[in-house]
Amino acid sequence: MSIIVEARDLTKHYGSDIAVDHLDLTLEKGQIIGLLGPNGSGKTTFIKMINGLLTPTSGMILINGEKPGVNSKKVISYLPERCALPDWMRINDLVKMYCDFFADFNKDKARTMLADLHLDEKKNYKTLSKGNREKVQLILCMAREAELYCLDEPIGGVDPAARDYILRTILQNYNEEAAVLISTHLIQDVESTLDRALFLKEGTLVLNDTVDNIREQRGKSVDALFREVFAC
Amino acid sequence: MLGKLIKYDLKALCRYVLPLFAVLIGSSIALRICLEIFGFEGAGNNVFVSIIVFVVAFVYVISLLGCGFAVYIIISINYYKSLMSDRGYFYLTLPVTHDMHLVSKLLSGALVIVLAAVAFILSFLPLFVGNIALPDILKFVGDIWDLIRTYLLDKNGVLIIILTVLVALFGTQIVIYFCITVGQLIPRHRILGAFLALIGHTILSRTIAAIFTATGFKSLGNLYTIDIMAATFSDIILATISYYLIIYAIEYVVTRLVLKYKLNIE
Repeated sequence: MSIIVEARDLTKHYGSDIAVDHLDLTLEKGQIIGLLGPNGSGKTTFIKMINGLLTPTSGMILINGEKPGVNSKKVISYLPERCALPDWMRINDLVKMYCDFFADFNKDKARTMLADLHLDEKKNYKTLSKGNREKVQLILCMAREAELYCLDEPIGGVDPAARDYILRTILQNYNEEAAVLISTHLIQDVESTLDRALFLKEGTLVLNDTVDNIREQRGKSVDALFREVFAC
Repeated sequence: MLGKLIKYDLKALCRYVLPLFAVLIGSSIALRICLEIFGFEGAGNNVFVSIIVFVVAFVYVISLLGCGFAVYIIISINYYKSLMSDRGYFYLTLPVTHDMHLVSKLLSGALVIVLAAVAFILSFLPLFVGNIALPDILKFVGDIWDLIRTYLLDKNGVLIIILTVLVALFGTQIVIYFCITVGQLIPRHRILGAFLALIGHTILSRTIAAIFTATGFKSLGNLYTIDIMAATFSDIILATISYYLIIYAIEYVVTRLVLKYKLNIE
């Protein structure tokens, strides 16, 4: 499997706070990877650095062997933890905008998913509930045929029924040419979809293993191991 | 991609500026209609009519004065929201360069500034049409142009016009984008940072200009007279505009570098 993300001695400071601390990591295509850790463990910071929204304090991050830039943005589909789309547009305008900017955007796929989740394309994005806004954002993100999906808390704000649909959608997008990086606290919900789990604690990587290994060698679920490692 | 960025930037700007221009021209037409119906004397004799005319005139004058100011506020907010707020999570992950973002913002902003100038001029038409003959207006504009050409635009005329247009359309925008972008270097106090950057820009650019001016006058020594000043007026204008263009070019480069190497979307 080819490497899509490579972090070398990656560090990010916010003033005197260390968000990511000398992280060495590679992510390979063809996997669904859970980026797990408590609040403030550096998950979002790491994802932002992959997307070029934050500049590392030291070290480097490479996407397909290149620093984050135009080429990496062509192949990464990013779902931020907050609603980032222009809220004055209607949903169908947002679909058109994604078509305009992303060559890998599959309009039909987006329309099917919108219909499945009963989201009216004529509605203004601003008038939607927070949960529905998150759904629209996720649909637009998943309707791309990207090489890397970075999903920061993709199911945190949606109802359990939609959560199942979203996880199914993520699984359907899984292929040998793509990697899915999911950051979440809802480990029980995503555990069955994950191939690999990464545990981040205070900016350092404390676990990087396949879910099968965790279950077979440690005899625990990812959720149980998480509770053990991050016990307060 | 640049064309697409400009399209969406223009859409974002026009949502706010077009209603503003509509209010400006609409209030001008309303004022003319009021004056046609009631006249100045009628407006003065009846309290109710006076209030109506006053309100319409007030809205027109406020729109007229606020138009230019509001356009720059809208341009600033659009830049901040697109690239520095939550929306930055979307726009900054589009597969385009930072230069494209900046150029798109500058070109769409310039177009809106031109539209504001057109709306400003159009708003006078309802008030003057019928009261002043078109040939008189054209003669007035011609006279003003002759004055400018005679006294300001001698040998450097065309160059001064081109540079003035560039400064008017892009200069202020670059300063705004520079201040907002540099401001985000101060985590959690980005707006304060932008104001500090504006103060820094103003102090530094004015100080350097003052030093150049003082040095220039000193070099003239005892030869400095009003005649010399008049003879070199266009040179002085050209030097001033060129100076500010250099400042804007530096600030564009700094803005670009900060976006590329020091971006910190919180």
